[in-house]
Amino acid sequence: MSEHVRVEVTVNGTAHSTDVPARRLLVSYLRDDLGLTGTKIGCDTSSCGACTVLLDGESVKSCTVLAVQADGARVETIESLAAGGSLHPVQEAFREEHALQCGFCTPGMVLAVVSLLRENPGACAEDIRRGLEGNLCRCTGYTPIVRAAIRAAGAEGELA
Amino acid sequence: MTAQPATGPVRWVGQSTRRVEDARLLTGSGRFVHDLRFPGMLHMVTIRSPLAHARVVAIDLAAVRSASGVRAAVTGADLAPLGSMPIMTDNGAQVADVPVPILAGDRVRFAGEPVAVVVADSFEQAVDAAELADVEYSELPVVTDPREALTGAVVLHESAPDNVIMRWRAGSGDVAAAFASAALVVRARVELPRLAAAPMEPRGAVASHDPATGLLTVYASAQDPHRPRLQLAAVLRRPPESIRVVVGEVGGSFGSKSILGPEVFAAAALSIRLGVPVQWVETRSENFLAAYQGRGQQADCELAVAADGRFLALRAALIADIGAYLYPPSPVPPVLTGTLVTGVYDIPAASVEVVGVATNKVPTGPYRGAGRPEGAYIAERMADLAAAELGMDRAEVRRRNLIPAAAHPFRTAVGTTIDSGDFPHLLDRVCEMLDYPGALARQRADRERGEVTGIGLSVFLEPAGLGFVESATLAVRPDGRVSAQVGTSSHGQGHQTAFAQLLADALDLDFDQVEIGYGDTARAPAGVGTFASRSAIVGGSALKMAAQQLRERAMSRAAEVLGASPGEVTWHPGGRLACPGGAVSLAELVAAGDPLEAAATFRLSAPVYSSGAYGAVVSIDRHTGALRVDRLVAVHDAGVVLNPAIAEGQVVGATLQGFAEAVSEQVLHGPDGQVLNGSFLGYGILSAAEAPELWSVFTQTPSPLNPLGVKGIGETGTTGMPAAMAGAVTDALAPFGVRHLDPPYTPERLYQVIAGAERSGTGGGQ
Repeated sequence: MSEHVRVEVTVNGTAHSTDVPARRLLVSYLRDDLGLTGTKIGCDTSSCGACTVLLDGESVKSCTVLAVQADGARVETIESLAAGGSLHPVQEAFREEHALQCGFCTPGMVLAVVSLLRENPGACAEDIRRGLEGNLCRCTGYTPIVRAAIRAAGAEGELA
Repeated sequence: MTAQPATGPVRWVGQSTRRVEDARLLTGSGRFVHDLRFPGMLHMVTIRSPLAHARVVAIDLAAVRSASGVRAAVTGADLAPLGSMPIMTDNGAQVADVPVPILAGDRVRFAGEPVAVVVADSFEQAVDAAELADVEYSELPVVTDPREALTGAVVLHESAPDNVIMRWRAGSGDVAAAFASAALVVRARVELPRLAAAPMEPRGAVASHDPATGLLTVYASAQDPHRPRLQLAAVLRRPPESIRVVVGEVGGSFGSKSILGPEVFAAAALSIRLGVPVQWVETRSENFLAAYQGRGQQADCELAVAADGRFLALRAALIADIGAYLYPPSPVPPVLTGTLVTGVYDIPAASVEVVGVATNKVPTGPYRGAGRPEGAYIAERMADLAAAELGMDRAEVRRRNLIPAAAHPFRTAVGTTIDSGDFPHLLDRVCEMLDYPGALARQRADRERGEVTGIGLSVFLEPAGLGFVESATLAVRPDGRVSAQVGTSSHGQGHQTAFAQLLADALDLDFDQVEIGYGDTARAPAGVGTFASRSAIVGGSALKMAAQQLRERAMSRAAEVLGASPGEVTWHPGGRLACPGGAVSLAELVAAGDPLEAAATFRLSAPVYSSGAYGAVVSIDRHTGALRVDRLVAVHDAGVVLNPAIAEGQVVGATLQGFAEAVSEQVLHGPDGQVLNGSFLGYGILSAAEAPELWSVFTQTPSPLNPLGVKGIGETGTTGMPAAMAGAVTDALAPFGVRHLDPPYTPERLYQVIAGAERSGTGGGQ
């Protein structure tokens, strides 16, 4: 139960080598071992997506991944997204469209949108709604989030 | 208090100013309770009853206490003597004496009730240790249905042998005479099932007692700091001055965090005992088991109707499924329902009785709407049924009974006074947005093709501003910026932005010259909190009064400094005060003398009534029962709107919650009292893929009861949607012989209705 395993993970560009209990989830590793509390825990059935992070560039629910499974991988959390103090286009779009209220689902939702737009830069509203099915929000009714994703897709297109 | 013109030119109020709070929330730097870390902090896990009703024969925590990392494990007996949480009865509810144990004593009354707690160095150690608890139960019979509970066959509390733990009644007019003379009496039993508020952040707190000063600090996920402080004082039997409550970021509440959970008192008692901070954060599963639920109300209703469609009288007998205990806010929703059963209609006579019943389920309390949806559901279902039985159009029957705009303030037969509103306009507007005549024509054509479609309407009230007092304090900082502290606090509503807009305008300052703070009893003035759509009304008005006071004080101080008479000083944008001979800034004023501060308290004389209307067009797949929304429209009257983006955000979010209440959400309990769908896998929270698009507009009748003319907007969507969806679904199913059907309108329920009607050969239009 208390068997420890060494994991080597690059989180937000910094390499970490940590002994963790074998059963520790990636989300707990990020929050409790590394102090990156931007990643949230909203459920215990892998339903809500509040713990979404990017693992080797793809969005995963970090409550469905053991820390040891991330050994050798690259993890990006919400803390890495606003590079140099300016918001990422997706974060900026969330702000413009009032796509967050309480903000608890927001880190996971933002990363889910980042990942979705990387995979499908031309996503339409329907693609976005389907693509965000694994991320629950209880405040916004989702419409502003969909608008934000569309706005960000446009902004990223302009940047590219 | 009468309406007054706004002070200074309006520049920020009415703008969709981007939110101040977003920068931290978007970057992951917002601190929620679970994100707090203190040196030496321990983690608390709750041991809960697996049974809905049982005697607790013995609790053996020896194995728990000897487990790795465990610092303490306690039962209710170990924590005694603790006080009890005061029940909110200022709404006139009569309540039975049924104390709420912090941790269960010799009996448990719902599955999930806290029985013991364990505190350990890590959360994982506490979870592992909790598994080792040996609790011996002796099962008792369970009652989950409130009507069955009323027979008294199973008794929860000896002080209430019929299980009635709350009562309220109201009414006026000659109800009996009206029913005797009515051309038609419409009768229905209606029910809104229990719901889970399910904020994305579960409940939690960190309690930290400082043995050196005796100060207990509790960081809580709550709707405000003030009510939790009073609850802690009552339960821990300490003076409120020895308790500081801090509410930081809160990941949603929707009414469900208006009191602290019993677990927080246990965490606080253990922090005092152990002298170190104790963190308790529940899991989602625990939230479904043990956080109080909403709705769970049913009513037998009778409406007396004249031949011309005029409503003459309403009788309603409400039964509220209160659950195992009265939590402090448990009486609030059923009483509010009772005050709203006549809805937006001029009904000369009414009588309503509310009976709150104990059952072996987690207690109920406010959930977004908190009686407003139930009241609107009763009034609107009765209006629909009256139309159906009269063979009259549903918009027309409403038009004949709506309270006219000129009649306000209007006192209803159940004793509520509606301050303002224009309900006929709301109905006209929503019919226009629906293209109501066109929708009816399309429905006829669709039905001829065998399609199952329906149109629903609702017009409703949102009484707001209850808990009538709020305060605000202001101080000019050395740099000339003005910082405010307010008594209400945000859990998503954007106070820091909307209040800053209000303050900037009131003082003719730039947006970044003002700053709004809240949530810490050590800094915020006395307040009640954020609920009942009240922050802008009561808190905003207090802020505005404080700003006026600050303005006067600054002008008078400026006159002294400048050697002018007070009448010569004028206020200029950016906080510059000038007279013919000179000028001084706010920063210079505070540098030159005493602090420049103001404090004001606003008392609202009566509830402010927001109102709205919804229209829905739905189609149902007769082969699968799947429901599709073809059109969804809403019009809201929230008075003067401070920030349209925030107001619209409240509407769209609440509309989805109301939609989910109509189509998918319901907490299901088995006959043994076990929650059957206590997770996001089984409880019907909707995702982006299932959320309908809403076309929403605002109209405006300013409230005369506050200096801003504002009303509430937080609960409109959950209030108007269930009634409109019920209207649409029952209209769609009318060809199948359906007169009334309660939500949730799941595909299974709709399929069963259609299949049953087709088997028995009841029409269906094909």
